[in-house]
This record gives sequence, C-alpha cells and structure tokens, in this order.
Amino acid sequence: MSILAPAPDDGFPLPTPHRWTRGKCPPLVHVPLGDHHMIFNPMSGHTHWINELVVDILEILAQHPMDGRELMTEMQLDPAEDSNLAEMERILNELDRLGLIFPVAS
Amino acid sequence: MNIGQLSSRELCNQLRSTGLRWILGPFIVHLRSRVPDFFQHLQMFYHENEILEPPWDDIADFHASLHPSFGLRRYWRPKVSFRLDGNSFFTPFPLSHAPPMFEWGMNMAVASRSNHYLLLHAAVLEKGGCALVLPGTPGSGKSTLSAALSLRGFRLLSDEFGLYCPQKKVFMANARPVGLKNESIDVIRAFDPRAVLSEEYPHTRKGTVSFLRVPVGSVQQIDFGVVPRWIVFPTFEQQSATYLEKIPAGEGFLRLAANAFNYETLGQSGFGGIAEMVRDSQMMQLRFGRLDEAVAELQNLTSVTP
Repeated sequence: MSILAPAPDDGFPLPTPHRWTRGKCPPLVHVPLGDHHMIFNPMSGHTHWINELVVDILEILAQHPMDGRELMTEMQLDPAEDSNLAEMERILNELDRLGLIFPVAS
Repeated sequence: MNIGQLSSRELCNQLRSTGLRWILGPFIVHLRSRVPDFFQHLQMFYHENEILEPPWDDIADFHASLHPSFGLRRYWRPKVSFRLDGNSFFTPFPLSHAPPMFEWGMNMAVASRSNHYLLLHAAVLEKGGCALVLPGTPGSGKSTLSAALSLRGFRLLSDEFGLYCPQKKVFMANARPVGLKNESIDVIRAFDPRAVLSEEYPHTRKGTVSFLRVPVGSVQQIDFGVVPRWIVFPTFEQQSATYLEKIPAGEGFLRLAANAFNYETLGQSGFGGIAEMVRDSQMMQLRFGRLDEAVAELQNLTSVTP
C-alpha cells in the first residue's frame, strides 16, 4: 500500500521524513453532519467519522503532497511547537493506517 | 383475488399442488406446503394479500416450501422443515410450529435476497405520509412498540425489516404478522383487547411466540412507499422512566449503519442511503419501561410533521 522511500547505498530503507498524499485516489464522498463529517472511501468501502481538522488535511493532501511541517504551515498552525508537530504526525500515520492517505518519498 | 377469497379446500389444494403465489409488498412469494392446517395461518394473517393466479408470468422472488417429515417421523414427534429454493437452512421444528417456522424462514429469505434495498433491522410505521423508523436489536422493544402503534392507527410497513430503496428514497411496505415474544404477548393483550393474536407457540428458540394480525389498511396500502422523517432508537428497560431525546446526527448515522444488515455490501449506495435518511429525519432515542408512555411519546412526536 505505501510507497517506500528509495533505499540508501547500504541497503537499509530510509527513515522518514516523507510526504503524504491522497494522490490519484478516487475522491472521498463527504457528508457534513454538524461540526463533524461522515466520509465514505470508495477504495476501502469503509465509512469514517472525522472532524473538520481532518477534512482540511485530506483536502490539502488531495492537491499537493506535504510533510507534517508543511501541512501545518499551510493550515496556519504553529509547527514550532514540538507537541503540535507530534500530534500532526500521529494523525497522518493514523490516516495512512486507515488507507486515506499514502506516504511518498520527499 | 385475495387469499381470503379462496375456500379452505381451494387454498389447501393449491398449496399441495402447484403452490400459491401472492404479493408481499415488493416481493412475490411462491409457497408449497403439505402441512395439514397450515392454510389456516395464511387465512388468518394473509387474507388481504393479493394472489397471482396461474399461468404465472411473474418471476417469484422466493420459492419456499414447508415439508412435514417422512417415515416414522410422521408418527413419532412429527417435524416440519422450511426450504428456500429447495435448500434447508434451519433444523426442523415440531409440526405444530409450522407458522413460526414459515415466518422465520421468510425473514431469512428477505434478509438474504434484498440487496437492492438497504436492509435495516427496524420496525417501520407510517403516520401522516411519513415514516417512523424504530431500529433495534432483539429485546429493544421494537416489535412490541410497532404492534402497539399499529393498534393506534399507525400503518405498519414492517416490524422486522426496514426496506429502504436508495433510488426512490422511500421505505417499502412489507407488512406481515408481528412476531411477539414471551411477556410482550400479554403486554399487547392488555394494551388493546381488540388485538387479534395467533395461538401461542411455546419452547421455540425465542421462547414462547405469538403473532399479531396487522390492521387491514397496512396490507391494502402495501404498494405505497414512505419517506423517513423520524428515526427513533428504542431501548426497553424494566422500571425505566420514559424519555425521548435527540441524538447527534453523526451518532445516529453510525448507529443506523451498524443496524443495517447489508450496509457494507451496498458500498456507496448504502452510505448515500443512510446519509439521506439522517439528513431528512429527526434522530432520537427512546428509553422506556412502560408501553403506554412510550406510545404516547411517539404519538406526540409524530403529530407534527417536521
């Protein structure tokens, strides 16, 4: 599912950083319900209940691949705070696990 | 012609020979039976349903049959088995339990053959041209509530399966006898002495069951689908006070999707169907310990169309 970063000379895969994208995935089906959204992922057939922060993340990553720091800058959040960046990385990894976004090499 | 217009002899002969075909909401049922006396169940509970007379040009959705046991079993604790397209899915019941076997067999038939509908485990009733949907697991009180509401002027579309058509955006009627279990039988008798109930069938896998005859209007208007307006998740709790409260739309969506038999099978069509229902309906939950109070709450809720 994930696209691995190119391997270095010693044969071990590169660790992160990498960017995330929705790439050429079929568009998600959105239904806004109050301050949350219900989305249907045609690729997995799964339904997810997400908040507006995640809606924004998915919309941005559908346009351009970004890493966590770039994403926070784009969303006018402060990436200088380590806890904020860590939380963003946690969300991105969770979205990857759910098959909503994919990592690509930076 | 309706089933009730056939004489007992005609009904028996047809069940034993070519079988009987009748219209059940959006379905055509084809039933053959050699079980003595089973025709009385059809006369009592399906008398208003329209039959299709041979030669049949229509394709039946369900080819069902009830078979009494053969050999020594005909004499020693005789049994009956239900088959759908020749296949048997349940262990045989005592012969005297042919009616519950038929009803549960039909439930299984509808559940397994209706993936062109979003199939909710829900009772559905109509009031003022709008549908009240009562999704719930066994024991939640949905059948008892739907029985009581049908006796208070609501049109019953179904007590077990909410058949939502994503294309037409309506619930389809599929009115059949309401299955009541254990204490619910006496609760409904006490609620309305006019209720017409079958004999009681003890020692089934659901305990003692009995069936309530649905009002004539529910069968006569079986062709009319209804748009959903109120979705109420009931929970019966002994001694509980009765309260009806709104729930967030997102929570309602998830509970409704979890309640559907074929939500994931339908994919985007199922998602769209639930989304439309949630968008067009008030989402509520009802906790109750007294049937009369719950009925009053639902009558009050549905007295005003949103």
